[in-house]
Amino acid sequence: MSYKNTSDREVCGKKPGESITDKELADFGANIDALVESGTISTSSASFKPVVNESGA
Amino acid sequence: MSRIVLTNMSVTVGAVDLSDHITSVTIETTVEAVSTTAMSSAGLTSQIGGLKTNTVTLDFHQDFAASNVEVTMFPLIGTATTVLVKPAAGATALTNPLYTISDVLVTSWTPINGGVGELSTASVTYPCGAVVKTIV
Repeated sequence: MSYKNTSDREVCGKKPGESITDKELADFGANIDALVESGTISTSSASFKPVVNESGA
Repeated sequence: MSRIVLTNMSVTVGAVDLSDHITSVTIETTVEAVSTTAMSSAGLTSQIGGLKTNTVTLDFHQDFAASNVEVTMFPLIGTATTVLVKPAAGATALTNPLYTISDVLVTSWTPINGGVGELSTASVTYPCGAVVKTIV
C-alpha cells in the first residue's frame, strides 16, 4: 500500500505530493493511523468501486 | 574536531519533519548506579552500571495549522513513536550523526501553554526505548 504526502512539509524524507510506501513509513517508525488522522498523508492507491444494488422491477 | 553551534538541527517526529518548529532537543541516557560496596571497599563506595533510562526532551513552537505541530502530536498521545535527530540538516556522517530514538512514549501534551503576549510553546519530556547512533 502506498500513501501520498498531503502535508506541506517533509514526511519520511518525502516532499509534499510525493508517494510514501508502507515500508518507508515503518522504517521511520511512523504511526500511520495518526498520520492519516491528522491529514498528513492519505491513501493514494485505493480505488473504490461503488457498489450497485440491482433490484428487480 | 570543531565546536558546533546548533542552528539547523533536523528533528523528525513520527516521520514528520518538524525542524522549523522545534527550538531545543535534549537526548539523555542515564544509567542507574548499583552499589557493590562491601566491607572490603576500603571505606569507599563502589558501583556497577545497572538499568539504563533514555529520555528525549523537545521544545516546540505551537502551531495549529494543517500538518503542523498540534495536528502531528495530538493523535500520538498515549502511543509510541519514533524521533530522529541530527545536529544539522543534510547527510548523515561522522560529524553529523543521526540519532534514532525508538519507542518514544508520548505521555503528555500541552496544546495550550502561555499567557497574554507570549509565544505559544510546548515543552515535553518523554521516556523512550533505544537510542541508536548512525554515522553513515
